[in-house]
Amino acid sequence: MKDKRRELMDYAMYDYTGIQQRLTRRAAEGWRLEKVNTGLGIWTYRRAEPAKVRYEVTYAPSGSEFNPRPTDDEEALTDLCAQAGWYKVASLAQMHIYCNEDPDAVPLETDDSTRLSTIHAAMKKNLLPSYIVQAVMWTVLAGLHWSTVFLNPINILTTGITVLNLAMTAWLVIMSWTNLLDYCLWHRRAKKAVAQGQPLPEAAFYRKFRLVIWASIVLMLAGLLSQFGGTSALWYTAGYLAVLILALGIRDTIKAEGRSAWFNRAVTFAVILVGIMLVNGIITGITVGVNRSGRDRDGAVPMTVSDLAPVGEVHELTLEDQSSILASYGRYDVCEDRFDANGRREEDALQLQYEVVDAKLDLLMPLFREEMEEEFAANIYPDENGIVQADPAPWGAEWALYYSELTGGEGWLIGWDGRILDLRASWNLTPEQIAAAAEIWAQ
Amino acid sequence: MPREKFGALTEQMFYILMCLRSECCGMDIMTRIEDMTLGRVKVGPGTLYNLLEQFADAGYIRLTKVEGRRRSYILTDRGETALREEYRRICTLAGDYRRFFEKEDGQ
Repeated sequence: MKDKRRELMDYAMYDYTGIQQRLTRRAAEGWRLEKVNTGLGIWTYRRAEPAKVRYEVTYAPSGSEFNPRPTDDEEALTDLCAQAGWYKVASLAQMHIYCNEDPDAVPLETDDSTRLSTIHAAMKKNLLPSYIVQAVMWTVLAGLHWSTVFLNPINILTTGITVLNLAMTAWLVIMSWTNLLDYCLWHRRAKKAVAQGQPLPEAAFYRKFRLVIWASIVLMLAGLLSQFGGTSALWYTAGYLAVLILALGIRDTIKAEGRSAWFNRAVTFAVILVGIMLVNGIITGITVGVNRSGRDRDGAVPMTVSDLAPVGEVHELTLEDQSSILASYGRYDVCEDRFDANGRREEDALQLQYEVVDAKLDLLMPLFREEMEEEFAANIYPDENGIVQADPAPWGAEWALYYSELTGGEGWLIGWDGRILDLRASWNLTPEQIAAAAEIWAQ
Repeated sequence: MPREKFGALTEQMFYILMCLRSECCGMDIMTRIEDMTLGRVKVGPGTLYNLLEQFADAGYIRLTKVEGRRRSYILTDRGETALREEYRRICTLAGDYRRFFEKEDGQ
């Protein structure tokens, strides 16, 4: 039978009622809180006889996880509580958890207005500045990330990892603002309750919201696994965990050496920052290297020269092939394998170069069309005939643009519902060849 | 402004300041308040600790003695003034109450 039990602490710091209720329930089930791992937020319980134990939470604004030892104020609080029969079980920054088995003992906190001002002082000293910095930082970072969608939509939205990155930054923005707003709203409600002589409200929203947090974390991990494959995702997870554990170890070592809280804070944050940059750099470098090495490959193209014209051997090359949950993109080069006596490809060997983007959301089509049209226009030599609107009917498409090269050959940009094809042929396609191509591409 | 910070003193603030007319430590305050109010008012150690911190910051009380972890405090002149003002406020309320109901009873 297990003697220890561990749980993730996922309560807001000001949700003292949630914490008290959970600890009291666990004690009734035969699990007493033994310690709280402050860095990883893990609560460790030990098995005990089921008992009715009262747990209460109080706050000492002078406390900090980086202090080398409990402050004199915290010691005085512990002593005062002990004299009143309350014994300290654990502390988490400025939050202190006490227990008492006497059902008639005077509660730790008997004045809600004092409790509220203490919680607010503790929040202002530690978590609130961190919430504000995170909200601003993630908003700026997300703004930078999301602006790239408008600069280079096809590459960004058809790459699984960049789409995941966009989702993650959006999630961090929502999370950080939710944390900040939830506290501000709770504090406003609490002030109103105190003014009306009512008990402080429970931080119920955060408790419900944490289910959304866990669900989204699971979804993102699943996304990470699907984009990187199991091994890389595990490397990322292991890398971040290693950085966290290293930073916590350094923090505790500095604490044990009795160095100042500010020194400890600066070193710990520097370790986290450098560690995350290293993990990202190393693992991303490996992953990108693997992807690049596998990019150019022969065969398996959606349309080849022999689909349109009777030719012999054809060399097929996939230059790019990527997809995300939003869209997919491919770039291909197929060429008739016909060589002269010197082994050089014949100049009149038929060649097709094309790229195709498929959008799973209609609202992405204008973005993709704009980028494809720009690229289509950019690839025309100045002395060539200009781009003209063409009849999309032969392609079974919604719209089509066309240009012809002076040296022979032509270019088509064709749009269907959810698909755009940029096709360049080294010869002029016949109506029959267009019909054959349309059969391949029309959805 | 300390007085503005606390506004009207809560019941527990009032009794804590009253106790500190003479020097005493945290545990003594809790016991004295309970005795003084015949058990009607009880101050928890968390509340007491934070109020003592806030009163000391506002200059209402001052630390007189530290014996190990035990700290003793006493009321300052500023605290005395705040306590007296609160007493006057309560008396004004009581006076208003009396006048109102005496008038009503007289009719």
